[in-house]
Amino acid sequence: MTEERNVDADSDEATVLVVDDEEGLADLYAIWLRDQFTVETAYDGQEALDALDDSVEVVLLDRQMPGISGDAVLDRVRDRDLDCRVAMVTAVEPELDIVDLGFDDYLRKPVDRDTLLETVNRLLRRSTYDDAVREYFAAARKHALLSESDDPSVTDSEEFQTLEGRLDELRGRLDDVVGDFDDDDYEVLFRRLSPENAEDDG
Amino acid sequence: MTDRSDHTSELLSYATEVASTDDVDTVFAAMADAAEAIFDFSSAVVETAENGVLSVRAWSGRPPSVDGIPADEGVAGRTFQTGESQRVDDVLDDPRVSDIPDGAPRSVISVPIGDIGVFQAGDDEPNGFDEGDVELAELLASHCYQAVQRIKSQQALLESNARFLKLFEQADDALVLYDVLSTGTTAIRLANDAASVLFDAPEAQLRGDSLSAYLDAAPEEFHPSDDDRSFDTRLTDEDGRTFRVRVKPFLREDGPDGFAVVSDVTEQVYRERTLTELHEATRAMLTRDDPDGIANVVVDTADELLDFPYVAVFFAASDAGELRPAAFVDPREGQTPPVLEAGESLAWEAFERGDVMTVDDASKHHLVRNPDTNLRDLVVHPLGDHGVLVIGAMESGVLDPIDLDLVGVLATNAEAALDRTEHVRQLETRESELRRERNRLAALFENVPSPTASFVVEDGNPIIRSVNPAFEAVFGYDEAELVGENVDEYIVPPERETEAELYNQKLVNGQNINVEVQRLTADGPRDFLLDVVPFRLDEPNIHGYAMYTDITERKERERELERQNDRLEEFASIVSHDLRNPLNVARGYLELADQTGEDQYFHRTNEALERMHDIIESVLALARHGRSLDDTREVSLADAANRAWRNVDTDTATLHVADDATLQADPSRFGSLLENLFANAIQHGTEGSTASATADTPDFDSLDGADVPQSGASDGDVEDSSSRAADGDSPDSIAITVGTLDSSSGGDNAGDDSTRGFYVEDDGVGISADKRDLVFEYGETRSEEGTGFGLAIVKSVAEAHGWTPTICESDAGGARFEFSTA
Repeated sequence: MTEERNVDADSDEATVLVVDDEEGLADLYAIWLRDQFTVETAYDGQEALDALDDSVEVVLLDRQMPGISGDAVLDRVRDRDLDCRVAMVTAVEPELDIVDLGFDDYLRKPVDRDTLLETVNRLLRRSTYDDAVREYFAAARKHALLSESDDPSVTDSEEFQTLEGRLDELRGRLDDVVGDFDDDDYEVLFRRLSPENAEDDG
Repeated sequence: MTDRSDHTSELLSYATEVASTDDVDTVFAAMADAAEAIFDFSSAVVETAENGVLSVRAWSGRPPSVDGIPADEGVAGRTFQTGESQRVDDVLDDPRVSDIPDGAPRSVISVPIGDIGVFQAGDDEPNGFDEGDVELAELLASHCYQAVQRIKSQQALLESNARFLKLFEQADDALVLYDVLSTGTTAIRLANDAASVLFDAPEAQLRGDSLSAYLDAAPEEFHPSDDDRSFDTRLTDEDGRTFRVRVKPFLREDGPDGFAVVSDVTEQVYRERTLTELHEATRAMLTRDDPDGIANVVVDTADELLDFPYVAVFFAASDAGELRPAAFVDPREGQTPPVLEAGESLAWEAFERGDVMTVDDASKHHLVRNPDTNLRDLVVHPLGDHGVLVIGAMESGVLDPIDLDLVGVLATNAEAALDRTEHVRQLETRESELRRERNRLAALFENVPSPTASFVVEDGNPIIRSVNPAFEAVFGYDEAELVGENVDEYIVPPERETEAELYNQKLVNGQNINVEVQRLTADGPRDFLLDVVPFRLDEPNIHGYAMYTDITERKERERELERQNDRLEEFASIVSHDLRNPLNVARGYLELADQTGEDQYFHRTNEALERMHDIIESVLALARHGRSLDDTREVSLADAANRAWRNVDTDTATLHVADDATLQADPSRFGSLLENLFANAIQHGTEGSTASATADTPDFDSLDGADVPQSGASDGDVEDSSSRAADGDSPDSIAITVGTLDSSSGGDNAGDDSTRGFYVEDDGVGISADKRDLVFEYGETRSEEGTGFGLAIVKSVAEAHGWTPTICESDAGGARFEFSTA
């Protein structure tokens, strides 16, 4: 386990946990983030679980790792009811199995510095939102990812239909809280609402 | 009152007077007169009923005031209606009388005259008549009635006789009434005018003569019987005509015995005979299958039926524009009808136009071919497309409409017969073509190299009718064994039965089948392209041919290609995935280096690029090793193992070559296989992992900056952190053994070509059974530090040599890789 901290970090800085078995990559993410956040780094699933505590607000999580996989780490995070946002950062193309994963966002490698910083900032903002809103954004992201699939069996699948149903339900509940959104989230919302423009927002 | 005794003579006198008259009015007038002589009355009338009115026919005394009264009114009406006499003693005091007219008598008697009228007498005094008067009047009426009846029946008889005579005399047929004498001969009693004309004698002369004197028939022929009899005969004075004689008994008493009707049936008999001959000719024509035979029948029939000397049938030549004589009768000795060229004769004209042509002087017709012909009357009748019938005579005007009709009927029948012949010929041609076609099909069926079965669908099942030799050979059944059986029960694998039933249903629906199926052959299951074409013959069942084209090899190639494609796709996805991490790292640190100029960032960029280079080299090596071998030679297992050992960073590990064998191998790739196996054993033997190392390319180093081995395998493990922790330390000493499969007992088999293969084993922690299937697959055991290609390269080299690699546990509990070369 490695911990990288900005020397000037004050106690108000949010804590981000970077998890990737490609150590060079984990270190790189840490370098990118350390000016704004308190960064912790883990090189496999077990290290990630050891590092996770209430202080961690955002997790950047690789999926395919030896030993405990990123998906398994995510499940533990949710089981432990930790109040943190999780973005998968992976080379694995999203398939139907993501429907049941409890992530908030999903980035495909390679990612650049700006994307990573934007993602962390957005996830921190979302922490201030209502659970239903967060769930809505997570579902909208999954929907957008799966809609890009070339395989028609994905969008024809029962899981995908269920996801769409859940999305509609959440959207209905959102009407009440929509006034609380900031501009970026509005943008996400609008993209989501216009299907031809349903793109990766990360 | 009248004294009736005085009146008998008057009554008798009346009866006598009317008995001889044949005039009804005289009878009535005499009655009125007689009544006056017999009765005392002031008035009397005789009335007869006609059209509902009783009209006065005679009267005496005071004249009647009216000519008649309605037949159902008054006393007279009552008398007529009831047929009973009436006596009214006083009209003023009688319920039967009403509306008494002025001048009417006071007393009345009224008696019926049979059913024809009424006699009525009146007196101006009441009680003018008694019962005696009534009886006298009734007697008088009775005489009157009888006289009238007699006159009427005499008149009816006379009329009847007159009518009969008129009919008799005016009949067109000869009618003869005759007696049959005791000698058996006949004697004419009465003959009509037609009979006189026919027998050429006045009736008076005919009387008493025998009918046999005039008609050529024995007297017995004329004896009437209860049944009407009829026979045909001729006159004794032969004139060529035929007569039909109908004989009937004459039933009147005292009349003649027989009655004969003699009719001229010459025409009718002629027509009947002609018709019969035409029928026979037609029948004869229809039994002939050759046009020339039909032509002969036509000519013979025309010659017999018609009184014309020249008859000929010409047929159109199918290949040339001409009419050729087929049969003929020609009175001109030595004459043979010519071949008629197109467009130069009457016959051709008729044939071309399809119309009958009739001329009365052939020699003068503008179309005639030979103006010197002695034919005059000529009729040419076309025989459809077949030719013409020509009838000719040496005189003009002898062809009559009946002859023309006969020629027409004969020609029409001939045309029908010729049509039929042609049709039969066409059918025969088609049939023989079909037969040839069927023979060709049968030969094809027998010789086609694909197994083929002929079947019929019964109750939804394809029942075999025959199979070809290829079917017998491929599926291993004799035809005799299969005929009548459901083909599916013999060659459909059990797991394919549902599918086969689906196809059978399509057959029942008459649909073609063109599908890939699996069938059980004598050599086990094979893939076929099944082509079935069902067709319906005249029978209700569906027939068809099922042809099985063996596509097993193609299917295997397809399946192999599919497997390869799957592998390639997976491989590509893993490689691209693995390249993304170092790419991401390189980009990121290069950006940092650019911003800060710090060496450490350049260093890390370089590391990432090195790793990408390694991955690409490994991919190329894998691809190269999997290619088919260009050059194999005899290679010593021991030599190859020792050489490979030198190329691997063996650290503290040891190699033992148990025995040697000569293998056919590509030395370079075989070396690579061994190097990778050694590297894998050294790297993982102590770690209990199943990861692979790559021997022939430099491995990516860890972030910690450990030395990068240049030729050898030292890393790559799922438990990379512990591997890293152990880096630089000597692992527990691993012992690797190489040997031949058939000599594991340790015997020296060097140079023995009978080797079944070789093995490489170690005494490390081994590979758990559930992972053995996976270790050869690239990506399954990918590690942080190794490129993960080592065992994939081992596998591809083995397969390129045709060796089958398997993994098991060594005696020492380590991993053992066996390569079967058999």
